[in-house]
Amino acid sequence: MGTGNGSGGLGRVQVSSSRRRRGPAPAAELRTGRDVAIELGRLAAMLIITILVQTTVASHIRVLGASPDFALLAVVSVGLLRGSEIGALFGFIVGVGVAISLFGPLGLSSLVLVVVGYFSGRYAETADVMSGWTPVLAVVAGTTVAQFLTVVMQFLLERQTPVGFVVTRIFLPSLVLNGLLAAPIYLLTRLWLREGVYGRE
Amino acid sequence: MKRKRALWRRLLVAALLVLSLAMLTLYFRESEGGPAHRVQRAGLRLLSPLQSGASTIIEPFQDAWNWVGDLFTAQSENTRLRKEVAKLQALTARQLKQLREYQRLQGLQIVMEDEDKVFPDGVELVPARIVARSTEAWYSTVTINSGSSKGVALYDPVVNEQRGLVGRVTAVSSHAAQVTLLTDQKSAVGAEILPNEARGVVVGSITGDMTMDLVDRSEKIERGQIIVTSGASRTLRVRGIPIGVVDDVGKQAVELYQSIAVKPLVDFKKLEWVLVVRQ
Repeated sequence: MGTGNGSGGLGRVQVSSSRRRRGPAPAAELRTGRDVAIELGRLAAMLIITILVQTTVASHIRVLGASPDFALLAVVSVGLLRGSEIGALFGFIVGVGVAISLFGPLGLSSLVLVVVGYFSGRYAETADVMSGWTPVLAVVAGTTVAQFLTVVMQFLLERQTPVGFVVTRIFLPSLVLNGLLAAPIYLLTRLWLREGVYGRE
Repeated sequence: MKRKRALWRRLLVAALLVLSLAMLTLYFRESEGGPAHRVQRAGLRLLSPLQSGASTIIEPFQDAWNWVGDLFTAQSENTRLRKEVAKLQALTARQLKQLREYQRLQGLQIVMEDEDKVFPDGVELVPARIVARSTEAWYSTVTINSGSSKGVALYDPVVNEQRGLVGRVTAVSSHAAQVTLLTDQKSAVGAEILPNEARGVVVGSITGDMTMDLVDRSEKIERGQIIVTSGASRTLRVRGIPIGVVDDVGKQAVELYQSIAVKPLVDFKKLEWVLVVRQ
């Protein structure tokens, strides 16, 4: 795990010098109506970009047969930065958007991403110490949960699930790829959402 | 206050989960014209122009990525292709001979003089660009930027520039359509192996491999034989669209049918433009 003074892991990400707990800011901390509007605008733009990147770019990036899950990465990042409620809501809308874009079954991705967004947010809200490795850990845990839920749902939808193939060709490559992209996507999201809007910087 | 907030948080998540499950249930239980499908089509009407724009923007990067990838595989690909060309030339010569005999005997006009003749009169090819792809291994689907406004209809076959079968249209909105690729595990296409005319069904799988099942054990099949659509499917009536070549033949004494590994003619990873065959 990262260190409190930022020397380990991703350094200063979410780390306060006194190692105090530093979870996401609740919406109540937004100062004015203008802040709320800016925040909503940024989240909406991020939502559209996430859906477009997930449906048009992700499929071209293939490592060991797996593609990065930008939707999950964005949902985890938003959950960590904005808490469980916004994380879950963001996950739901991203899931619906991706399903619409790909003519996929409505509700499947959103079900998975609501769970991922909610628990990422809860982790940030309840963890005693937020370290630089938090995004990576959250993405790894999120990917595991998402893959497990997807396998269960696909099994219920009567799609064949050969366990060996799922583990070696879907789960492990996704875990590695998403884990590698976790930090850059988290940093980009943090930069885009600018925590300063909450008056905490 | 804290308790109230925790309650609100749990209620919100529970509501979102219930809503997701309700949408999922509705989606699978309703018909194509149901409310969830209509919402999806309406949403896609808004998103498809953005997807087209994003595809155009990433195209140069995608080309560069493919070019770098191709550099690594070019040499081995070249050797393999040379061998394949030699094999195909031999096969073509044999098939041409059989074709001429067939024409003479039947007195029929046959398709192969011109590849477009594969498609019967009145069939129209609608060009479409792939604007989105499924990234999950569970689904091998792509979204194209042509829909019902250009005459694309459910179950229309989709081919690539070389007229190799790519898949079939499985959902349509006014300006976009979903194409389920042959490699999708729910895909099944009636096919026949030339020149034997041995019939079977080409199915996809989660691994991306394609297999031709239900081929009679008595048929003598060899590697390299060409597989085309049989036109026998209720939803795919065009006969003779190339699908792939026989890659391996699995025959077991206890099985009633032989299972044939199919090597597709289409490179599904590099698809950018396709043609929808309006039946």
